[in-house]
Amino acid sequence: MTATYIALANTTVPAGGLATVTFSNIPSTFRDLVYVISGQLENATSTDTILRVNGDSGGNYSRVYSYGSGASVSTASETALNQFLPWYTRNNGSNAIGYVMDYSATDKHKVILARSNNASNEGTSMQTQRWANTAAITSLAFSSSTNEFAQGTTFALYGIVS
Amino acid sequence: MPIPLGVLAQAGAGGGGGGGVATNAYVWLASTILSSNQTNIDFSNLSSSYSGTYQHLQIRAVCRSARSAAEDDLRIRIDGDTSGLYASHFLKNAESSFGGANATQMVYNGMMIANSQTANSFSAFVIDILDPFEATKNTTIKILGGYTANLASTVMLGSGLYRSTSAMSSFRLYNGFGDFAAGSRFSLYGLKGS
Repeated sequence: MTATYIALANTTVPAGGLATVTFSNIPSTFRDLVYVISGQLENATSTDTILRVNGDSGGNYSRVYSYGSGASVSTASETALNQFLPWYTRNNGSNAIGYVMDYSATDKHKVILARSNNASNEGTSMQTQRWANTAAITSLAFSSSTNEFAQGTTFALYGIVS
Repeated sequence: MPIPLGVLAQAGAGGGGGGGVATNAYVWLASTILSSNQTNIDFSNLSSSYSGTYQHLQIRAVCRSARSAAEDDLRIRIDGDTSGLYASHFLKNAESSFGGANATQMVYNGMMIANSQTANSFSAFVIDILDPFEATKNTTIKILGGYTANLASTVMLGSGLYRSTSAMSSFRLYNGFGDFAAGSRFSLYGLKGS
């Protein structure tokens, strides 16, 4: 029986932290991708993690999100962004997961269904994100320009067959 | 830290054939990719084919309505049952909405992008159907879905109930207003219970 949900890569941030984690050379042999992040940032400043596809820093990203803090709930749509913003967190435990749908199709813009959770501070969120490009995704680069990923934070990427 | 994927990808690809990798618990069962517009997406013979092997089902879909509108519904009907045995709720953006109780299908209003919106933009859904073959439980589902485009955008968490303990034999996805557009993709997966 062919494996369906396959671990492609994972890494754990070493001592000293990391500013960027990049999954590169992603093969086009799967239908969907799933990324899973668990950990925290280096300091107490809440920061949006940046996700760029194929190195694209143009204004080709959009999103709609809903967010609940326990005290309030809000929603917003943003367009012409220079990156996805999949994970808003700080120096305490949190996690994020994203479903990158039809990532290798060349007739579709790419959609990511994303969830993130930070129970201590920022709350919980859900997002739909779109990269306005029909190119197959070959790399996903996560970075945090003002607040590095802390030691022990894990990044994992999975491929789903169909 | 760049992580090229070649080595791990090759290791994973052999996972089902041994090599010390655990038995697959999540298995692709079927897919439909539309080459032309189509009104309904049906998956059938589920109980007879899968009840002995899988505990849960999952649908992963990337789809678009062919109708000239901003958005359409996503609807789900089980075993062709049109009696009022369904209920559905959803959290859409920051609003709590009610798809209906004692309804004739599960309905998630405005969740699917339609053909007046940005070209090449599609909605995405991950739909879990829990215990569809259990004879002692009503069938429940949960959904994460949404899209972004020029006229509207949405993100949604949804729940659904089908008040029947019959083992599920089939389900239908449709939007109630028109066809799914060419290029839409629907994949069915099975999750083993043990």
